[in-house]
Amino acid sequence: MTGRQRPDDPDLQRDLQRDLQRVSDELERYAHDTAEYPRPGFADRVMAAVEQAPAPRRPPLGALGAWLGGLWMGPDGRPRPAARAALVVATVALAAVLVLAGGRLVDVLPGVNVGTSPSVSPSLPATPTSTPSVTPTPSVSPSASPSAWPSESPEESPDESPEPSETPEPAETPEPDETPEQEDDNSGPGGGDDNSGPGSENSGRGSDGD
Amino acid sequence: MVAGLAWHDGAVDDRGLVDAVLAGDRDAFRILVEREQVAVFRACLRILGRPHDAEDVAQESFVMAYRSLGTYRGRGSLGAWLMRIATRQAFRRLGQRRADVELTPGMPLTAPDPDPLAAALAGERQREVRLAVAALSEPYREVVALRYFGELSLEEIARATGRPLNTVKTHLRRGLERLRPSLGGEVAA
Repeated sequence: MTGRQRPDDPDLQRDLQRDLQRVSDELERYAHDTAEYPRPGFADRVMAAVEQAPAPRRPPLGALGAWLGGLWMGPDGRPRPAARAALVVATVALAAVLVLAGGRLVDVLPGVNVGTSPSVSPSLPATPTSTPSVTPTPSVSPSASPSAWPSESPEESPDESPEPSETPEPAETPEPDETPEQEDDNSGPGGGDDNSGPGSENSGRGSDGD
Repeated sequence: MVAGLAWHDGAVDDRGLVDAVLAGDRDAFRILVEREQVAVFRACLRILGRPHDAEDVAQESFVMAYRSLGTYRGRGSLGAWLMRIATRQAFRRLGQRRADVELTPGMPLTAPDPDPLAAALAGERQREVRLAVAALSEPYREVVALRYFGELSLEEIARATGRPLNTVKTHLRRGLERLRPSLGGEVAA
């Protein structure tokens, strides 16, 4: 025995990298071997099925969202720099307008003590000698009909709670955006991005030249 | 029909295609079907292993995409959005017939090999690949499937899923690490 190998051992890393490359190669070989085509007429069959389906509709505010999205996103799906800058300018302008409007409001309504503590209001009694403890506790005044009071500690039956299972299953939603995204935690062995892993090539679809 | 628009020439982007369909032009959807049918079918075939099932799920995915086209937000390409739907549907179908798959002897998806033994081995190996990827947990399964079965680039996956590119790379790497026990062995060419 030569002792335990550390995870950052270069030999171990080399072995791991070789194994990952082997897995990647196997997956690519599998993809290459299964590069089949659908039977002729597949598109016609799909369109026949589409004819039976209800026409798609924009969701509420979808048109506005699409318009804004078109302004925001470039053709490559990335935010346009100009749109980003415009958003920053609009945010700053909105904040400035709100601040100015707030100042004008103070001028228009001089009676409003904006920025002062409400505790200095003269309407309050100057000598609040009576303490809140004077308030009779419910326990010492049983003469009032107890049935007229709602229970202070309503015992809610769990059965009465709204059923949360009506949330649509994410997998049934064709729009994949609703899937909760798991952020990268970069923990665990091999964590973090090395940008050199197998399969990190940018060879997208069509690389097999079909 | 959208007159005067050369879809295949790339004169209309995905957004224009979606807008045309949403405006009631079903023929515009055919462009998407014809453009993506091979990729979608192959991804389904690689997950399911049966051409008939793959066509079934691919068609189902197109119909589902058509009905939900209004929810496409233009994040990533329309093809990648469709591919996510298709792979998800295929894995769901695979889950429904998982017991059946376990009993199915491996049959190669490629042309019959003249050597029966080689054909059987190839089919068995393909089955192992399918099952190993299907057994991955999310999000690794999705990233591996989109990358290798859907043949999307990592940038396309990042845009379609809304994840940072480095996160997608990490997910892919961890997915491959998890596949290592079953697929990392030496394979005879």
